[in-house]
Amino acid sequence: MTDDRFDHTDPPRPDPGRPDPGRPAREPASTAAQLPFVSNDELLRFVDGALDDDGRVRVLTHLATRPAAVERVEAYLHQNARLRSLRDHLPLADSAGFAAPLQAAIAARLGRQRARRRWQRWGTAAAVALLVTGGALGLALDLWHEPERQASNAPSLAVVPQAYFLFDKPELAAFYPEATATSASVDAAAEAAAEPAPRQSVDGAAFDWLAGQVSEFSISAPDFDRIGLTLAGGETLERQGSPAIRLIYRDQAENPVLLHIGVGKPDVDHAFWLVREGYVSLQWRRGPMVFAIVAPTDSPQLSQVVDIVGAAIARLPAPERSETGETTSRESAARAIESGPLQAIAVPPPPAPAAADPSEPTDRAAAEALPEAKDENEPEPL
Amino acid sequence: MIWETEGHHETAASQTLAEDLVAHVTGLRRYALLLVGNANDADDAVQETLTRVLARNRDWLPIDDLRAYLFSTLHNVFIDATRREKRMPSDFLSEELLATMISPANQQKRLELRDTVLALAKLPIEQREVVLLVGLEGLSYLEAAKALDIPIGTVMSRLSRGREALRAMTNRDSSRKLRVVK
Repeated sequence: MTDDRFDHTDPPRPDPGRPDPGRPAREPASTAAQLPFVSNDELLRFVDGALDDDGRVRVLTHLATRPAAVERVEAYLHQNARLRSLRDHLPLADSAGFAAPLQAAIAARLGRQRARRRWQRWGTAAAVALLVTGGALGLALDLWHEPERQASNAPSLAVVPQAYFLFDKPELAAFYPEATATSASVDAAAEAAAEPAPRQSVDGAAFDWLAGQVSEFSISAPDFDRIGLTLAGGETLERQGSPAIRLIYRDQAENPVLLHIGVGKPDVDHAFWLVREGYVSLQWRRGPMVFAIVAPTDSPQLSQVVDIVGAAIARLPAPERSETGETTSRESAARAIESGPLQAIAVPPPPAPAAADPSEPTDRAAAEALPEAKDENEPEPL
Repeated sequence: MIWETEGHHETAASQTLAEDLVAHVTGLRRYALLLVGNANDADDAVQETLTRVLARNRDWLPIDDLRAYLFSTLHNVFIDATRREKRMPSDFLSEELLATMISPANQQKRLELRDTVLALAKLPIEQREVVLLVGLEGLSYLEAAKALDIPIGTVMSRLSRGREALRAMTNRDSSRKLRVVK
């Protein structure tokens, strides 16, 4: 900021050699010399109510002899009033949809003691149920996980967090039931995993399959290797036209981190935070997709997973149409795979823009890429 | 495990944070909507913002200067989306937005509203951000500087330019309308 003398009689961007007909005559030198010192910044602060009493008096004294400055300040005050009046006219009626999950999270947290007592009471029964369910899931996942990991890392009850089975959110639960894992998708994934080299990674195939189900977005397999997560297994799910993938990774401490991406319905509630027994679940939406991550509460990778998944998903440009009205090959491909996940895995990767590297410092680099006003730090007289 | 060690104070802090977050959701949505001009994209961005904030604060501890922190995270979400999708948030769908806005009954207010939205749409994105943060959301200059990760002097400069540009556009529009009436 520069506290340069504010002289409202000069236009903001004078055009040399071209007189401004609306420009008021300059004040007599004797009057100007008596004016209080008022900077451009001070006038802005006056408009935004950020001056103390002395500052306000100084600006008001200045304005008393400067009709052009008064006009400008009034215009800015009027702008602020207009902007604030916009608040009443924006289509934001359903903000409650955002607040509800937060409030639900509070309720979940406050009800922790009750839940824990219930767990102690039902502990034995739950352990048995989880053993059965976890065993069934482990068997299903065993068909699909990477062959080299089969012997040592087959998902089992020990690596499937209890939280995974305990969600009470119906939109997420819809992605879970064992019955929803179609045998075709598991077979297809197993087939893809068994292809000779160079073959696509298992999670890559799953993401390609999902990409085929969503025409608005491109999806590439997130690179979790660099944050120390390795794939343990996964599957594709489809139920009532809502495709999803479920992948299980292990962190360096061998704890499981589960990632779900599904195509939700428009009326799915914006739930994104649930906590159960040492695990956190983050859920969020983007366009038609619902994401969920389940990880240990102390997992350092949680926020990184959010960033990496976000970077792997990009909105596609609107479909191009040829002169004859034919859609592009991308759209045709998306339509062709509607009949099932088997074909979806065969869809070539979309011509998506390269995913941004979230490890790079995003703010400043991107801000620098934005068009900047020239001489931005140099205050300009109003 | 977080649940093993938490106490009464921790629970109270969690509740405070959650309530504070809820209190800022509408402001975030409002700002996002006027920045990108599309309700779906704006809500997606706010959703991702809240997710990131919660992901980074899993202990639900109070966050200093929460409002600036939230707007800063939202700003980063926009930047990431811009980089991913190779398009600027300045693809401002003003007509689409105007069509969905709640129109004032008064004709003059309606015209003012329209002029304001159309003028905002023409502002460069970096000026629009500052004008909206300060003028619409009432952030202090310091908060705006934190939210946008720029020096406070840059905030003042962008604000000055943005306001002057808005003034020029709305004056021009007003004089054009007057000529039409005559």
